[in-house]
Amino acid sequence: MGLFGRKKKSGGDLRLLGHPGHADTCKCLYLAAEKGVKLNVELIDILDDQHPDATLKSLSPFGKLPCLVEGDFVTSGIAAVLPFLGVRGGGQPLTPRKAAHLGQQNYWIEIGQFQVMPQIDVLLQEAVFNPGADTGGQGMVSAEEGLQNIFDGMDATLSDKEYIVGALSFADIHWIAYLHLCHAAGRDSLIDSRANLKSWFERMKTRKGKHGSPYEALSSAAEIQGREFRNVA
Amino acid sequence: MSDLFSFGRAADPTASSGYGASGDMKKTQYVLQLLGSPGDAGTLKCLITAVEMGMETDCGILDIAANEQESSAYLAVSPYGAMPALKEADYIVAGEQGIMSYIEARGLGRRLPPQNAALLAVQNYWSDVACSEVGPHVEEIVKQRVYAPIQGKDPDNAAVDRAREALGAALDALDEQLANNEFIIGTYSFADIHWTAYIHLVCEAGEGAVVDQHPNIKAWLDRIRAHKSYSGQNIVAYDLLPKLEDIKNKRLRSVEVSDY
Repeated sequence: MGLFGRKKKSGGDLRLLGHPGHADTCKCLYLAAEKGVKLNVELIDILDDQHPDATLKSLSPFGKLPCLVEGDFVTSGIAAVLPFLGVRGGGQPLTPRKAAHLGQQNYWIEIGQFQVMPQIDVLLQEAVFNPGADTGGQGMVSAEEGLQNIFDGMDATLSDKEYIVGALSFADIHWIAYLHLCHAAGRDSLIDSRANLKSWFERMKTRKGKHGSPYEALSSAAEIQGREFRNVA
Repeated sequence: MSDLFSFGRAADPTASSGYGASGDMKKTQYVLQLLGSPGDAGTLKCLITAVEMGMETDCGILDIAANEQESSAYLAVSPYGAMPALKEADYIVAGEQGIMSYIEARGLGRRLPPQNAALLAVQNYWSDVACSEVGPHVEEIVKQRVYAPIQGKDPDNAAVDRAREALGAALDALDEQLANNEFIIGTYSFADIHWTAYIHLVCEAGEGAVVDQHPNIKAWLDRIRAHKSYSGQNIVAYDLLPKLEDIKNKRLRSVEVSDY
């Protein structure tokens, strides 16, 4: 059965090219573990001067990460890889059926991608990737300030919900990556100072996926520094 | 609540009596209100989605030339400034991702996203390429070619040259993708909606030559210009997209569906 065949559910090993400190890679690891999709990970060093190198560009012409490979099929970028894993994993769909919830899911995904992720990248750069650099800490201060208002909004959204739009959705998969990396950068105060956000983070950390804890698929701060991450088995 | 949504049929008590009055022909009981800008690709994507899904939508103007998207009135609607914004009855959502998916789910007919995992990934890959590799450059071209003169400034032609050059790789890739496909992933999808908005704005901003250099994109654009609503309604989304004069004069056409 070819790649576009309807009956094919698994066509051998899936390879995920990414980096343990890359938020979009983290989202894929969490979802794969949540859904029980086996992933073999391969490091792309996003900190290397040559990134994106010719090898990555041969698979993903615009150098998008993460990059997913299954046999001859290759796709890249979080917008493509995450829904692919969601469908491939089967089970309860993460895409809300109700239009209002779907709109809210994608609203929070967009806010996360364009307004949270850039700040998280700054926190990681200064606290994890390059902790000894003499940057004066201004980047950290600015990034934290940039997150305050948005985290307040998410805290309010979570005041009467277990997950961001009610049931677990792709919005939660995006945001667990941001909060995990915020934690890895040592900025737990951004989370702990907001009761609803903190409770949600605990739920996401302790929830059981198809085969154990999805959160355990994510790398610790020390592992991120060492560029280490694990296959999802 | 801000009065930014005081436009169209929802704001007209004499018109509202006719909306959904028959009850048996309309899926919606409330008119959608889209608040956006004719020079904003995200607004055009939402407008196209409304047509493709057969959803009647009244459009209001958010004046980005005057930075109205940063006003307190708009931030009351969209706290982090995501635009455009959509309202249906008491429900408000902002940003193109949220709005497009909301309209699609509320719409008539078949669902737009492919069910097959690989096709879904291909659709989203090409949508992502449009947003990340094309969108910023189109925005720069529109800013210089359209908005700078409106604001009494001289266009930065060097910036336009850089943006045009930067579009090359993505347009080449799309041209190759369309070599054997009627639409970007074969059947009509969200990927076509994203690319339609950008290609339309490039053409209206006077840079249509970059499209003409790509025969498969040019042929695809001809198909898009004639593509009837995915929902089966007798309307063509491209006919509603704003021309250059509409962008300059801040005009957006509303979506009206008559053939139920």
